[in-house]
Amino acid sequence: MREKEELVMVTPGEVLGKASELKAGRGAYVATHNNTVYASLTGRRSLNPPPSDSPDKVPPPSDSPDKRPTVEVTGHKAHGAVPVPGSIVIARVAKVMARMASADIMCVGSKSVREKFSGIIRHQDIRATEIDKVDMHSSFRPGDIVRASILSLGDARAYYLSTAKNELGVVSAESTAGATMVPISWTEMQCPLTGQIEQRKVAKV
Amino acid sequence: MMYSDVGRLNCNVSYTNFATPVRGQGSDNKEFSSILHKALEGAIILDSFPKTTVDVFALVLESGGSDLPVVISCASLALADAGIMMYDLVASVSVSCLGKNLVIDPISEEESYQDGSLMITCMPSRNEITQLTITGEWSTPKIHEAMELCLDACSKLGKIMRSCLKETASASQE
Repeated sequence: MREKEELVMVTPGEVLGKASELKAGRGAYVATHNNTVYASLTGRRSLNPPPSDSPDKVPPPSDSPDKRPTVEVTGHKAHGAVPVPGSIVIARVAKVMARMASADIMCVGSKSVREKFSGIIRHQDIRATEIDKVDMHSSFRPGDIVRASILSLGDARAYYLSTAKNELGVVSAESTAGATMVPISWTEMQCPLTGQIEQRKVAKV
Repeated sequence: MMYSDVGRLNCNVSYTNFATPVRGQGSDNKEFSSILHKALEGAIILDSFPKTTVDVFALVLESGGSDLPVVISCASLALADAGIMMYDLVASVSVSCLGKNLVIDPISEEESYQDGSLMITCMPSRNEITQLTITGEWSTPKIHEAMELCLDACSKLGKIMRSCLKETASASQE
């Protein structure tokens, strides 16, 4: 296979190709008046899937009639992680109230964030079943570390988070005695020092 | 703080005390912030960053004339380097009319004697003008000539801006 790594740097406004041959991915856009794909970021241009020379290679998205490769531009600077709807985040619960819990988002995916982002978990987003019978204090306590997914950008103050899946929920929590608790079921965690069982919405690890 | 579906741009242009030969604040710089805003907002893809504000701060350390075009071009370079999605770079050039002569990028002394000035801010690769400012006394053929000069200078400036960005980007990659 020809390993010709194209180290092509592009800048915003540079022509990447014609819209009839390329699809615009992240970092590129299509100008409708002349059907050309331009770059919108400074960085390295990459084509997915790479143009293959062998005719018998199966093109990856086989169900769509659109066989154009997608061109993307990856920025040259590393950015701090920003929560995006659909991403999985790790957050620390700050406040638990009657109908919602507020949490500080600490990591997006596997990267930690550079600045604090606020998130809210509403009572109907804590779990998938029996959402009208949810008790906030048996799901989260202040100080718990939870894994959640971003539902939406929310409002001006906070992102909306959800733990309504098996693998989402409390990942680590401290008992009232001060020790890190061990999960024993979907809804319970036990303190190793005192043996006390506390209720949480536990994430399946 | 209002939630906004699109990104917002916040611009501020200020002068230091020692920027001008005469100590003290420059005369027009209150308007410069809004002029910079109008020049840049057409080029930035605001839909790409909802619930976010981009702040552009320009501090002029030494004013040598033709300040605003320089501020606009530098701001656009900074935005491109920072990774803000833009339709194109923004290059800006100003021309002064001194009697029968046209002078590109006038210095402060030439600006003080000018009969009129014309500033064009354009996106060179897309051939679109985002802002045009004319002040003073101009005849129509002079305006045509000045605009041709400016657009040509903008496209040359655009090429230099791109090569600078690519150089920095390649250097930071290694």
